Amino acid sequence: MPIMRRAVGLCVLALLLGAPPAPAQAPPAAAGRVKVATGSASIVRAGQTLAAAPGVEVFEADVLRTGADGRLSVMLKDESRLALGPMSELALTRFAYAPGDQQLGLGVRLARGVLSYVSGLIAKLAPESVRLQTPTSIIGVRGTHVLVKAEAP
Amino acid sequence: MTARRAALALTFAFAAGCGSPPPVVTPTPPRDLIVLAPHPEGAPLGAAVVTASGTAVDLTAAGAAVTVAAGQTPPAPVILPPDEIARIFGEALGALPPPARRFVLYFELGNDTLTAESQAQVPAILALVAERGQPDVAITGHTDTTGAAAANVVLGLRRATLVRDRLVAAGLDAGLIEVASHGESNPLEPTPDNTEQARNRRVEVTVR
Repeated sequence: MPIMRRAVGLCVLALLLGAPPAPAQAPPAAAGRVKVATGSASIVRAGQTLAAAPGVEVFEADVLRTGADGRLSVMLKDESRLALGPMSELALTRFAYAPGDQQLGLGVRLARGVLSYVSGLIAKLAPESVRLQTPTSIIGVRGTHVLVKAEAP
Repeated sequence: MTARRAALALTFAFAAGCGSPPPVVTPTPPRDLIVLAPHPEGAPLGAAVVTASGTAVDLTAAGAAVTVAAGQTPPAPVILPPDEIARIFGEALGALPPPARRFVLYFELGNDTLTAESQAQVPAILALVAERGQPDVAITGHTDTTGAAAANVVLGLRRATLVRDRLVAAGLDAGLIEVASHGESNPLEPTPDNTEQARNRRVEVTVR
């Protein structure tokens, strides 16, 4: 049975190389969910644009975007809240919330528009790991409610 | 808007036979406004530190605001009055969801029965979930430090699952629920190891 033998050989090779026998990668956990979405509001993920609606999951690296009549808000798993007004674009650059493993971090970058950020448990447990960015500034948050308006050129 | 009006004006100018070349448009550099605002539910204000062009500006008062222009040292903060905050940020503020709410449920000592007080909270949890529409519900089990830490993770998970089953039986959508256990690692009342503490034997239900 040469085919069988070759298959066994491949499996042994795979084991030797440390390759997993089957794709066992768990899907990444959501960072939070959309709570309010009105007018033109979308999520851009890996180049795909998805309509934002209440209950839709948000992941690290997503970009949230609103049009001229849009508003969009999200609650993250650490209870942080992010709300965007019209003509806004925000990237969730980092989200780590595993207090048991000391994995905590929140990064958002407002490219344009208007943001209201209300801090959650990450800011409470590890304030230095929260970072808001705008085109001109980096904002360290020791507080609980920060408003940002980014005027793109 | 201004650009479009200018373009329109130029079109008319050309149509009218005025042959002057269009003006060179220089883009305005980015400008950001950052405000430390009062907390929507009245939690302490805290502070924010804005860093730009190597300079840090502390915002420590309610309404403290700084406008930062690209490539320039940020100026000292000013206080933005509430009506200005509402004018600039009203739409975003209006989209803020209500805060997460936490319910703490306790078990009778030594068995898997909720205390009467905790049992009585179940309708309030269901009412809040119905009011919120599409919340996520996190159910997290916690134990005291009696016994081994690993066994307590299992115990916490079992109790969290019991609460999940109870809420699902009462009508909660199972798809909204996430169950976890922190075992003995996240006590309400820190204690030495192997200490009985009723307040630490709990399941927290957070409606986000």
